[in-house]
Amino acid sequence: MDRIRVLIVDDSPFSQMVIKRTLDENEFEICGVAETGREGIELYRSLTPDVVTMDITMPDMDGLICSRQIMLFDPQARIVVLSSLKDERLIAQGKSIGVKGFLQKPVASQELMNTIRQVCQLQQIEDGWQEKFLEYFIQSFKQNLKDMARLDCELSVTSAQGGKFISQGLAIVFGLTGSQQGRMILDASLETAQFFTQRISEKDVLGEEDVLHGVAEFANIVCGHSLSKINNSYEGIELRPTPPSILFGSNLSIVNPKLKSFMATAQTEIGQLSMSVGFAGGE
Amino acid sequence: MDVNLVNPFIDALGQVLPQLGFQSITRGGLAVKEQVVDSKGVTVLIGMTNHIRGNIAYNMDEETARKIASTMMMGMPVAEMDPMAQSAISELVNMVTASATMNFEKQGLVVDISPPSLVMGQEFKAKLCNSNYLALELLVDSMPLELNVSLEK
Repeated sequence: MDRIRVLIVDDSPFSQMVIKRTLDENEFEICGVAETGREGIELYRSLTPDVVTMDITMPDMDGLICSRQIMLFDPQARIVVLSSLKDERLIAQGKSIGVKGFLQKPVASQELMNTIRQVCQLQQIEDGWQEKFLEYFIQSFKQNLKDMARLDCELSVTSAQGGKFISQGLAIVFGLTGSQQGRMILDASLETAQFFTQRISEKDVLGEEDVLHGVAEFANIVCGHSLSKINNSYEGIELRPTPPSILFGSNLSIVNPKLKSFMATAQTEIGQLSMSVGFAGGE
Repeated sequence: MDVNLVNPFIDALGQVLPQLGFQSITRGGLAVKEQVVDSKGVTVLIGMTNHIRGNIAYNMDEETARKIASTMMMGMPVAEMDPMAQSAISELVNMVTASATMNFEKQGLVVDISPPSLVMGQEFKAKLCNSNYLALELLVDSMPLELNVSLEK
């Protein structure tokens, strides 16, 4: 097995030495040492290490700002903050940036090695679950198209990592919170939304407001069914939807830079309906 | 909607923005508006669940978004809303909202947040979940930023 390549970002020569000594060289390789935040960002770009250990207090910049710069360059970066400071605000800010671990100095050798191992494994667990969760959304979308709107059709599914979602005119957006973060979008043109709402409500004449609410309710049901099944199928997983935001207009696109996204499209007799589902890494 | 639910966001802006290189935050008007937010061009949506539920929309024009992204990237010129700038703006919203959740927690309110969705376009509207929302005008280093908060306890 390849050794785990570690970049140390820490201005203290003493701390650098301690971290080097702490990590078993049979398993870990120190691929670089940066003494400033700026140097850390440069070395990350040139070395692309597996893991970064990040100090907080450095002369040129805060370790969280340095982490943010690295995450902007590589959203998949695995950063473990190693600092004498460890308070709730720091942890919350770090987590919001995408920092994977927090350890307080002085850190025990085993604890540091275990954290780095876990952070590396995290990626492997993540590789499978997004696709599995997606399946529930696809089933729910297909089933409810059939049950609620009598639209029986196959869905085409594509992966759209980091991609931009371009709306056809009306997009219902749900945020997903809980054990994993994500979001679901249900999208159609306003014309298709009108036909669709007529079908699910069995009324011919509808105002714009009715159409928005009709499609939002359909999206709510698709999302709710998917999450219930996921929560029931996986022990320890609890996903919740935020209330929906309804977006409508021309030329509108939606971007979620850190999410792994998929799109399922239904070509129906009343037009195209699309569902985009994206997940971020869990804690 | 309870006007006090806006305060944790105002505090969060004051906590986070100076760390990202912004010098001044000036509060403008606060108004109750109905249902629909008219986007200024770049609108970032973020949802909340648990003790507080709803949506927040951070609303700005494209020029402001580019300038904010540039400040966050230490003055690097940002000519267009490219993926790096999109990522920077999303990150800003994420950090401010995460700080706001910490401020809610001090009041004993536990809140979970969704990832931000950055929405761009020439003419679009966002209908937040509830009938009324609060719109707070801000100037961040003289750049107009509107915070639209639609939350219920």
